[in-house]
Amino acid sequence: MEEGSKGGGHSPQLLNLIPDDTEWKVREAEDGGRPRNTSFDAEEDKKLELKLGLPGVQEEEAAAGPRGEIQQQQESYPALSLGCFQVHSKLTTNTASSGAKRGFLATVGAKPEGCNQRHQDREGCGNELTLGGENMAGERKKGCCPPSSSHDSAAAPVHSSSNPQGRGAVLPVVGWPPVRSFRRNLTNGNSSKQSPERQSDEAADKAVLTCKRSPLVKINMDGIPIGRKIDLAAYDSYQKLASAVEELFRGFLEAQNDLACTESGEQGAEEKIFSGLLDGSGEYTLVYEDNGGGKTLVGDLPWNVFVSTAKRLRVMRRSELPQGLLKMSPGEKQFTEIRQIFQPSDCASCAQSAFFWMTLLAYEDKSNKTNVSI
Amino acid sequence: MSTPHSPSSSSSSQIPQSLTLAPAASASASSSSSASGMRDAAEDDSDSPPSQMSEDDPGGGGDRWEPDLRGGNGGGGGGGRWAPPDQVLENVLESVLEFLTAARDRNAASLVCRSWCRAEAQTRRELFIGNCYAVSPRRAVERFGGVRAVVLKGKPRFADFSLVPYGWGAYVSPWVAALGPAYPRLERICLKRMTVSDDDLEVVAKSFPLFKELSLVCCDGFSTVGLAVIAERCRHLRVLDLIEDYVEDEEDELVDWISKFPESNTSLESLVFDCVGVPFNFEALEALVARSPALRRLRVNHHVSVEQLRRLMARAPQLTHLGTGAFRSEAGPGGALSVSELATSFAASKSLICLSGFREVNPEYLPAIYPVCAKLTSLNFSFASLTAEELKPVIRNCINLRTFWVLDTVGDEGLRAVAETCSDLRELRVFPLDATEDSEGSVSDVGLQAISEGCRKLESILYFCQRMTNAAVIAMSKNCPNLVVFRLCIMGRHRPDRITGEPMDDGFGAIVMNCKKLTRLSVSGLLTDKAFAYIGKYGKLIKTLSVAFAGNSDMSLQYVFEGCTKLQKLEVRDSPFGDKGLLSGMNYFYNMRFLWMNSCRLTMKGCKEVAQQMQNLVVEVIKDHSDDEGEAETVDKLYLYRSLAGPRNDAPPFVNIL
Repeated sequence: MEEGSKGGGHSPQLLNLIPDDTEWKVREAEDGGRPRNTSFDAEEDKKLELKLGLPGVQEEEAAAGPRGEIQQQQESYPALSLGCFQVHSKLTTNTASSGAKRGFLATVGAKPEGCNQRHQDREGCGNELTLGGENMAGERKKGCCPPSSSHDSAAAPVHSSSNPQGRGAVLPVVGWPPVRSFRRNLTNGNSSKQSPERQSDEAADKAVLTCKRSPLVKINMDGIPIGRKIDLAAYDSYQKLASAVEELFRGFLEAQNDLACTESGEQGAEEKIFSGLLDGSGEYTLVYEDNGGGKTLVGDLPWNVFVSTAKRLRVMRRSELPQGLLKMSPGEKQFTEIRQIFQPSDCASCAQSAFFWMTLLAYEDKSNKTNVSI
Repeated sequence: MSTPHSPSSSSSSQIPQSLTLAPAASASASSSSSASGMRDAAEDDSDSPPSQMSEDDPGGGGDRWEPDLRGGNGGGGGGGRWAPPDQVLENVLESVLEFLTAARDRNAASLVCRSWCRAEAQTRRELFIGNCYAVSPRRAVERFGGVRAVVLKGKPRFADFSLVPYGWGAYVSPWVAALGPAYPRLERICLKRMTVSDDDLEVVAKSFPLFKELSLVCCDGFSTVGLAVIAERCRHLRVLDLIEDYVEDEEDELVDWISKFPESNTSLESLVFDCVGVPFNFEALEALVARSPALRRLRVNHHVSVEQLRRLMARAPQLTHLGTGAFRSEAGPGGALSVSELATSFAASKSLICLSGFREVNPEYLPAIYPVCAKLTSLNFSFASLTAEELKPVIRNCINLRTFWVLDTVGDEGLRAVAETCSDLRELRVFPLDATEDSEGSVSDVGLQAISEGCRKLESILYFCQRMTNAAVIAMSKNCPNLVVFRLCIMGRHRPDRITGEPMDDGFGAIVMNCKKLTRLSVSGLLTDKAFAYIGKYGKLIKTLSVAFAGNSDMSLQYVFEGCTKLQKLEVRDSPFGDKGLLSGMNYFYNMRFLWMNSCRLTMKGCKEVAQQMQNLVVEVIKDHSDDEGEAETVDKLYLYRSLAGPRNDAPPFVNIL
């Protein structure tokens, strides 16, 4: 409050320093008549919302719009938001994470290029949430799960209460706040005090650790020199993964086709390229390496097992998929190492996968229990 | 030196400038551009760790070079064909110019006449290129003969925040290919935000027999394979600084690069690899440290436990800069290193002035650093989620601190302790633990106010928060008149003063008005055009301006373009600025290194108009997705920069160069 009074003292002085003060005053007067939405005209607002917002946002905006009533809002919303938030925190971790997934996919549809990294980071958090649920304080949960899904929109008032402009549910945008990606994961990271019960459950600990270590899985495609990374936790089925893979590489493929001056009008062909990723019927097949380095066809194992064991994905040409050794095509640096192809019948790996699966299930069980007890 | 802005900067009341600009505009702009804005203020973009800033600081480093934009005669001052009028005079001139180090002075000298230009080109030792696409490698090596050090920058800074799509460019390959044959005596390369492949590193290692220093900052594309080649083949390597790079490695493809440093290399002075997150051969590192008596700076990654740290410190008591790695024990219960043992190690490191790391800190070990705290000038806790209670005892000991980086878990209370203790503080960065728009944020205007009252010598601040008041910002502007860098990030967009509900205009207005040395400003929170009127009116030295979710009309941009005559870099996102605002900068683009705008209201038409009118500008429109084949009318991302080289030829399909 002390600062407030100080500020009041200074601002007029500053105002006077702008010579054409009148312009401001006019603007302010205009704004004063209307609800004081200082920075945007209603018209402009709508435009912007089209870009950023969910369908529901506008109503919300209308309700929360008048900036003159900020104080009121702030008073009224916390009560509301508290309720919402409690509900929110009671949700099982599972729904929380799948909600985030939906949000992710929606965003990917709109802007896949370059945005992925950040969303993946966020999704990394989401995944951790699922695994390490019992360690999560409410605030962490809130931080990790952006209000990006329909499910989360229930909690929207929380955000607008702290965002008195009343811009409705704030959709996270790429690159904001402007923090490097390696700083975004700090909440999951280092501090032991954030998870005091950590040692109580070794399996959980393990799961959290693996999640922490590699939220992203590298993926390469035959013939494309640039590798990408993908967050498996952001998807919940092989089908979604396949479409994400397509998103990742289609651009490159097109670029290569452009470069090679191949006949145009092969858009259909590209569709085909990706159509058989999972069943091996197309030109390319999705293959993954597990922790032991063995290769498996994606789709052979239950999704959960796959997520917990996949270390690296490859989109391989069918012709390069023979039993036995991988052929290295000249100029493809990625394939400096020749690896054994993993046989689905390989007992050791199966056992390993099964172990991971069981650990995971066991853990999920426990986390659910804890959540109930909370 | 006069620039074309100066006449128009005095008034902010005029009607928007005509959208159509006379062709003469480009001529006048280009004539002055070569003389303007040669030297940058500290290039400590983003999150470079403290020591990097001293690295980057032009005060220390000295000469920098920016592309000569005189365009015109194609020869571009290439020299060589012109016989000097007097060989003796030339020699004298060269001997004198040897002592001219500042790039700004050098650029001025090169403009005197052809023979000066030639002499200057022959004696320039450090080449600074702020945008790798602004000049072709060939042209650079043709002009400058005896370069020993090259500093190159690539992607726009917003690449740090995933706004530049993967595969955009900034490949270093053409540069190393050109530098290799041209500069056999090259000793130092510093790259920032460039894509560096392992092959590029191999070319570097092979091309320069006297190579001594490699710094890669915010780069990507390489792996331990490339590092191994550098370590093995650069036998005189003194500095290998890998700072905030994204190293592409899988644990199963690891190369034991540390052990590749030859036994004969005993001249290592700096080894920084905290961003190389993969495990490494600790024994090899220990041996390397042991045989490097000149090692002053060592930053290890998070795989190093306190037990290992202690071994390293025992081998290198002369270290001045230390990155600690994890700062927790790896040993099981009972076997863990005791705090007092670790404290002994720190006490023995009498030269330590800079501490960083603490990647996975166990707070119990913090007291171990007490013995060195009083001598520290730089402390980086920005990865350590420590509470005010845990931090305060450390802070209380750090009476000589000049640079302090911390997470916002420090709280207002911790910042108060900083204010009370660190009266000599010059730089403060407070990063968010939870970097989301709706996070609570645990520092506020209260902390900022305290800092401003206690740390009056503050020159640079980066402050992430959620709750802020104009009063606190105004207080800082008055209490810290030496501020050169002011970056306040209110993470929730469009947030007003938390008490009055007013926009943050007056706070930022006070900053530009009262901090006369300000060269870098990042604004946030609820801001109207008024804030930009202040910035244009008072921010006469501002070189870098970052804008997000701000302003309410194109006037904002116009104020900035017309008022900020020293503006070099402008980055804008999610602000209601359209073509009109963009076009109001037409006369000034030549004087800037770049303009970045994304998620604003630009259209293709406006961007094309700029491209058509300004011949030496490259206007890149970056599509978010390459599959919308139809040419979209709206422009999501615009990256605009001056260039002597013309449109680049390595643009990916999602980049449309107009």
